[in-house]
Amino acid sequence: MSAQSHGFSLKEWIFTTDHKRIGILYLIGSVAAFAVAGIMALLIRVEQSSLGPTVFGSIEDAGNHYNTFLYFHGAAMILGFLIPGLTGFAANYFLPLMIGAKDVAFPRINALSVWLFWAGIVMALLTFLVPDGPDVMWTGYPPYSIKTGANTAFYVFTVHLMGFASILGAVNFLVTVIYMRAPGMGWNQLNMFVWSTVTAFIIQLVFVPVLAAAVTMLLFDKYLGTNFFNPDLGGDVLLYQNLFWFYSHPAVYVILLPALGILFEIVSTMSKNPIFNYKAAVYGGMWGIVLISGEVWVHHLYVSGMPNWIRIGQMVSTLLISVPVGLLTISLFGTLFRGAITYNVSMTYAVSCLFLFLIGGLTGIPLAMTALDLHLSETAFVHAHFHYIMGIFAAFSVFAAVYHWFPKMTGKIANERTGKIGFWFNFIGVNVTFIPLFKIGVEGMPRRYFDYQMFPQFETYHMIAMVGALLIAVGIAITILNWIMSAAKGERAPENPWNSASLEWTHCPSPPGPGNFPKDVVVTADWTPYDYGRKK
Amino acid sequence: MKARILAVVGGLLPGMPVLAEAAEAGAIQDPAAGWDHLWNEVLIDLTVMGGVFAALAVWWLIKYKATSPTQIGRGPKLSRAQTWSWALVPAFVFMADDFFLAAKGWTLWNIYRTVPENAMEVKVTGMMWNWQFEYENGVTTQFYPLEEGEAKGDGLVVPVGRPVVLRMTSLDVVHSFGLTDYRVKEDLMPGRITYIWFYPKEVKESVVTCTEYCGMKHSYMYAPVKAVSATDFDSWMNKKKQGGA
Amino acid sequence: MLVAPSPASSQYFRQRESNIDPKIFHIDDKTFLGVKLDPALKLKDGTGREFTLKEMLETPLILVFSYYRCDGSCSAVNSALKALLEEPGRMAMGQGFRVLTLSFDEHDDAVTLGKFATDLDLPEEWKEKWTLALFADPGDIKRVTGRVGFKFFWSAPDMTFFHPNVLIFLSPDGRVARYLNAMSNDRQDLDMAILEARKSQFEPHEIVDYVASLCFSYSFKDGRYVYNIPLFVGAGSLLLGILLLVGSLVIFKKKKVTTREEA
Repeated sequence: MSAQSHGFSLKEWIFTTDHKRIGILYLIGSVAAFAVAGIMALLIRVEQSSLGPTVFGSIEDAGNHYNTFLYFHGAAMILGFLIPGLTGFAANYFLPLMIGAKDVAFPRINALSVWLFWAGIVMALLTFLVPDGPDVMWTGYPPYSIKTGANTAFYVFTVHLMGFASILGAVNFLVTVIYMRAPGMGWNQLNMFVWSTVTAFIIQLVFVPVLAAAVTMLLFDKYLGTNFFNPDLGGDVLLYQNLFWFYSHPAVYVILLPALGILFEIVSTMSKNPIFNYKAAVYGGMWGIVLISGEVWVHHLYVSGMPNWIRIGQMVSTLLISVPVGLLTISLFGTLFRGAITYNVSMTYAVSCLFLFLIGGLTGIPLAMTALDLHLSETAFVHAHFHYIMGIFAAFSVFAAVYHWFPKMTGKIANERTGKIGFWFNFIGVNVTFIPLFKIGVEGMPRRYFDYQMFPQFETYHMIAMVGALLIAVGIAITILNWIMSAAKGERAPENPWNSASLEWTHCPSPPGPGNFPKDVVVTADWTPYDYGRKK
Repeated sequence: MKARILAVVGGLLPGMPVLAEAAEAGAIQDPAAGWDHLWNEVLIDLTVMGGVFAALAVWWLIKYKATSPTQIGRGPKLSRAQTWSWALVPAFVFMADDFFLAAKGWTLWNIYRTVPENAMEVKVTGMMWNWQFEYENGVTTQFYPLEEGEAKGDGLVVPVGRPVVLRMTSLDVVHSFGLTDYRVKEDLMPGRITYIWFYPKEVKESVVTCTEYCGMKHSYMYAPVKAVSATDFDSWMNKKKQGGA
Repeated sequence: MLVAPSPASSQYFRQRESNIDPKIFHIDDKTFLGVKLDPALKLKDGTGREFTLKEMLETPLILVFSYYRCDGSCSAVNSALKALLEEPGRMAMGQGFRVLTLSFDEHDDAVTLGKFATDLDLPEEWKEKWTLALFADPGDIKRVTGRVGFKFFWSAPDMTFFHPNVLIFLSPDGRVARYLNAMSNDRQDLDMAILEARKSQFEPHEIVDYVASLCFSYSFKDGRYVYNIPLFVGAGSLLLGILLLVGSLVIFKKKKVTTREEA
């Protein structure tokens, strides 16, 4: 029945075009990136935990290595873990199952996509092997990225590979959703996760080429002597920042939307409640975000000396993001109302995400306001804000997804007890790490500092943050080990352990075999993936 | 719409007449004071919004815990009218709050960008990894945090009671002039000129830090900013003019 | 900054006569951009009326340092500017900017100014917007020219000043927004510099001009505006993205049947 029951064949995995195996390959790659980038985060916290160079002997060593760690942590977490974890792993494995398709529209392109992603991971990891690994942060602002002695090229190629992988994925999944839904499945019957993936991929497809073009010009400037960003010769320093954020702000929605989609699935399933105001969430919330996502990037450039009128205009558009996000929040919270909630590990993660989302989302509001941002920009406050909303919130939703669909992927139940222990380490850890950073951020602690001799009063807070990071490290280790152990010798799972109404649980075995569904799926007009049997 | 929200938030903010007082006195509108005031307002706004959602969530999470494994949720099924109102009413409430905040933010922004006429001009040049300050009379100061293990130089010295406008540019890469105590910050770029202004009102020593990543010694790119009395400033400046340290 | 005329420098110029290194007059514009001129600076026009710089600064101002006894480059510079402004441009003369020709020669007076004005022969309708003026207090000359990096030398044997031929664009708050070479630029450069001097304070109907201005950026080496290539690359790649999206939505319709059958 399952693919695995035929025994393990490396060749089969390498040449696979099965969306489920590709999803697993994405998961392994992104968890690997997450682990290495997480170790970098730990080193960063340790380095900051006391004044002066902590891990390294000299300022030069500390400066150079610390900056490489920061670069790798940012680039690998965003490009190697969050985006591929959500739009690579989750979309690949679950989306075709949710729409009742046997595979994606272009299975071979899908295979190419995952191996490009793996090449990107390798390219990123080369940071630690080549002399002078990139130290340009994940933003790569010129002129620094051009003037630095480090090898910016590895940054550029990583972006290229990940970007190309993502574009292929986007085309593939958009076509799949449009043309390969089960007969009878209308647009208002799609899973929230399917909608969130569609909207995320639309953003990805439209904006990734801009990032690719921007970093390519960076490459030419550094190695071929062009002057795209050299002000002496008519280049424009600020233009790179504009192009970069023109992609990279929408990119946070590429992360946010699927993360929210996963939460909708889990919250709905575990509350046995249909989505509250589905249409407002999809058409107002998700499509609203798509619509606004391209007009707010300048809030990353409030301090860059953009013309005043643009800064004011983008303050208004940035604040207006709260409208679609607010609609999604109401739907998500409303789905709990009069529910019948059971708490397994994935629901525990999902519930914690509701609060992470509030903290991360609301702290974005002062950052949207131009004048307030002038003080907060590039401080630990920003750092804590986007770690809550983009880092932890999205990472927790990936963990929740793995736990929720673990029986689907492996046929086994992940150990609940160990899972919850891991959760509490993670949840307490992230708050211990980042709440102090909010505080010292407002008081002026700049980002990307390994030493802060001008602010010795912040040392205690950094020490607390390091303790939090250690807690997270323990939690993550427990979580990943739990997955591996449970997959190897976990308890056999029932076919539909959470009593979900979604197609991947009701119509196909766990794990699904080739072709996914034993019988072709046809859905009726009154079917929805959130019908838990109330009206029958 | 705005008035309504104003009334709501206003009711929560009875004791914050700081900005109003400043305006009445006809004094210079100061970015730092305006920032602190707006920050408090926004914090209250956020706490109210977040508190409502968080309290609801906690309440429901406890109240609607399933009593049996087969129990099914009894979430409301929305009529067409309810669907629309649950979309439009929250949308308008959020929008109203947005426009309220935007109006507040714009007002403060205008203060940030309106440089007082009598402001003292200082040219700031950023370079890896150092700040250089040049006064209008040509006196130049610099600060070396790591010079032989001991900090050297004056940094930026300004007289109390006079606004200071900084005309900023960079020699190499992007830096950012982050003046925490005065709540202002702006990038410095090669080939471009940027401005900020601040208003030192009392004698104190604060610090400017580089807040845009600029390489190995980014963490050490800082300088003291000393607000001193006008007489101290004059005597310091006279000493500087004669080439004193 | 200012190198005052002195015997030594005259001698220096005499020896090199027709072969003067133009670099001496080069204004290191990056150093001087953003410098603020005192709006209270007192000036007087050909009729002897005194006024302040501030009165000229409701809009951006093109400042041309000349001297009125000059029979060479100064006339050429002013005539060239006049010719440029006569060309069709985005902004008609006087709408949105003004011009101030200001003598840096303390020996100039109403008479030399009048003669210069006659030779320049500005159209009647421009006279409100293009002012020829003198420093009310010649003591200000060195301070003001020095402040914006404008250097000049009196060469006794040649009976002439050597000085840079430069247009200085002042923003309405009196700050130097841009320097342009007075002799080698076109109308478009002029318009771009005026737009820049406005600090983006444009009227709604000028939005097209403003958007067009984004397509150019200033090249310090060339001293003029060049195409802002990365913007076009970025716009092109955005277009590519949109095409990819539209493509995946419409072109693959046929693919549906085949894949499903294969699978």
